[in-house]
This record gives sequence, C-alpha cells and structure tokens, in this order.
Amino acid sequence: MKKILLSILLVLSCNLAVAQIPQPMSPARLVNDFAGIFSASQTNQLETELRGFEKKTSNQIAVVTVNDLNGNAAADFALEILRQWGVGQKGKDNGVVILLKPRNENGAGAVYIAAGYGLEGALPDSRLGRIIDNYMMPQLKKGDFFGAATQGVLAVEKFISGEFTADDEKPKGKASWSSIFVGLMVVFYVIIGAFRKNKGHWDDDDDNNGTGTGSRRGGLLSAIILGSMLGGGSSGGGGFGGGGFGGFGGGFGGGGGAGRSF
Amino acid sequence: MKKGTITLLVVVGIIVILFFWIKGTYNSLVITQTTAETAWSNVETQYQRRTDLIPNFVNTVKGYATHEKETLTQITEQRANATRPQINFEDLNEKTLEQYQAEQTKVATSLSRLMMISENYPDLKANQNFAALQDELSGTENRIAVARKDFNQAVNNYNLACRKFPNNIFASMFGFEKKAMFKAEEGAQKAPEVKF
Repeated sequence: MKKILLSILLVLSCNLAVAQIPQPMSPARLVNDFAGIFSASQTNQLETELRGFEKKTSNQIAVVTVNDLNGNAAADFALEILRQWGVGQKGKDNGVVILLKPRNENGAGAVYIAAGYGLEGALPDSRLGRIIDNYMMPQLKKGDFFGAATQGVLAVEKFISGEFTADDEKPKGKASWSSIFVGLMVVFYVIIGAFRKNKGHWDDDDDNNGTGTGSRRGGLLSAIILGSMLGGGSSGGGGFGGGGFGGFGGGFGGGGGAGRSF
Repeated sequence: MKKGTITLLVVVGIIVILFFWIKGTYNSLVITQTTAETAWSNVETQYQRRTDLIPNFVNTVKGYATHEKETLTQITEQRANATRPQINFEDLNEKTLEQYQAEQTKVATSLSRLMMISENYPDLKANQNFAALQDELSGTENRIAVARKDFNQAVNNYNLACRKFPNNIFASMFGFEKKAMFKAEEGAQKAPEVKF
C-alpha cells in the first residue's frame, strides 16, 4: 500500500516538474556520480572535501554528473536539482549545484553551475562563467572530469567561504534546544511533584483527607510518563552525528548560474 | 425560558462555526494571493535586471564598434525614453500583462541588436568584460524564465482557489479577482546560449 502511494506521488511530482531529474542517491551524499565518470577514490576525495566544507561553512555544494539531460537545458536541469533536492540550508539557500555531462551519444558535453538565492551575491553569473572558463574548461577539453570538478569546487569554495558560517548550524542547535526544553520540563515536574507531596502531607496532618495522596500519585505518574515521552522524542530528533553528511537542507534558488558546452 | 436558551446557543454556535469557516477560506485566499504577488514582483525584478544590463553592454561595445556609434546611441536613447512598466498586482489582467510583455519584447529586441553588432567584432568577443556581460545576460534570461514559470504556477493556484466552490462565493464578496498568466514562451524569451 505504501509503495503504491509512493509511486503515485512520484508520478505526480514528475508530471509537475519541468525538468525530469534523477532522485538523489541514497544514503544522501554531495557527489552524485550518475554518469560514473569518477573512480571510487576520486569520488571519496571529492566527497570528503565537500563534507568538510559544509561542516565549516554550512554551504552545500553538490557535484552531479549525468549521461543524459533528458532533452532539458543544462540550466533547467541544474536548477531543478537545486530546488527538488533542496541543496543548501533552508532559509540560507546557500546551495551550489555543479552539473557535468560528458560528451556522448546523447549530445555535446555540458557544464553548469547553479547558485542558490543566498549565494547569488558571492557568485554572480559572470563570476561563475569565469570559474568555468578558467578552472574547468581546460580540463574538460582534455576529458579530465575529476580535475575539472575539483578545480571548480575549490574555486567556488574560495568565493563563498566568507558568506556563511556554521556557528548557527541547524541540527546541532535544534538538538540542544530540545534537550534544554526536556530538562526544564523534568525539573518543572519534579518541583510540582515535590510541592504536591508536601501539600498532601499537610492535608493528611490536618484532616486525614484521602484526596491529597491521590493527587500526589497522579502528579508523579504523569511526570514520569511525560518525562519518558519527551525523552523519547528528543532522542528520535537528534539523528545527526559523526562526520557524515546529514542530507540536503532544503535550499532554494531562482535560476542564477552559468554554463558552457564542450 | 429553557427553549429560548437552547435557540440562543444554537444561533451562537452557528455564528461561531460560520466565522471560523469564512476566516479559514479568507485566509487561504490571502495566502495564495500573497504568494502570487511575490512571484509577480520577482518577475518585474528580473525583467528590470535585464533592462539595466543594456547601458553596460552599450559602453563595452562602444569601445570596439566605432562605426556603429549611431545605432548604439539610438539604443541607449530608446531605453532612456522607454516607459518603465510597473504594474501593481491588483491591476494585473490580460490587457496590462500584454502591454508589459510588449514593452519587454522591445528590450529583448534592443539586446539582440546589440548582440548582432558584436558578432562583427571578434576582438570584442575576446574582451573579458563582454564575456562577463554575456554570462550575466544568459543568467538573467534564465532567471526571467524561472520567475515567469513560478509566477504562472502561483497565479494558477490563486485562480484555482478563487474559483473553487465554496471559495468562489467569498472570493467575489471580498474582491479576489482572477489574474492573467504569461502565455507560452516566445522565441525572444529564450536564453541565448554562450558557446566557445
């Protein structure tokens, strides 16, 4: 049932989209080599570089290679990847998509760099054009895709490294806030519980009324239940960890970028 | 006495339900309208961006295409005198949108004339400044296409929200009107590809 729903959703989303683009590879990664033009070690090297850069600056640069643009302009293809995958952080829109298509039976080779809204200032179209001309085209003409991708990535990084910083990184901040909240709730319930307990004793001392103990128990019980519920929720939310890539952040863009064919 | 209270409660209940229902409908209309408005202002921004590129182009081309001075001055003057169409979202309908598009086509024509002139000057094409402007132009054309597409999508959602029953009753009551969309892409709107 779930599969049927999912496939219906997929068909619907494909119909709505202008350019048909592939789904991002799973688990999420920044180098999506659909064309298979990088070796395993090259992919690793690029991925490590890009993850490190994301960690430092929160900017997400996705390198995507395809064998076929499905009849779309490279610009549309790259923008749809940026938008549908959500490259960059939500709100910052600091994503960059470097799209590479080798020359093959599906037509001329294409390179396109699309920048999210948040990076249009640091990466105006003309600058992206220069990056492609100076750092990528010489290698692409020789068929050195890895060299082109690496040079392009390094050049882009140079220009955007000052734009955003990772100090307000989302997943980290979120986790700590929710844990503070849970902590406060627990403290709150303990205090309430203690208060009720005291009150219950006074009630007992005064006129032996049974309701005092009842309400005390209820308070403690609900505190325990609530506390465990909240605790469970927070551990579910804090899935980020280690040196891995947490997935695309929901960035957006409006068509800024530059490209060449070769 | 008791019957009266029940009637009163029922009436109050119906009024409360009606209030929340109308409030929900109205707010959903406002949200789709605001989205469409934002999309429209983005369209205007991107078109303006393209218009603003013309003086830069003229200045760069001037240095090389000395024989075309007259044409270049003409283009600059045309741009200076041209009305800067700014249409409020409220005034957006088939007619005003057509006028707007006609005005933008003139800009596109000026730009393609500039491009044709520059074709004749190989030195110009090698100029870094010119190459940068060409990138800006194709990026801007790309942005325009995206903004138009987003706008059409937003207006489509808005129009749909206005016409759906029972929204249509409140839409006409509160003055939400159907808005015009861009027609299919014309040849002039296609982004010129930069090839080396």
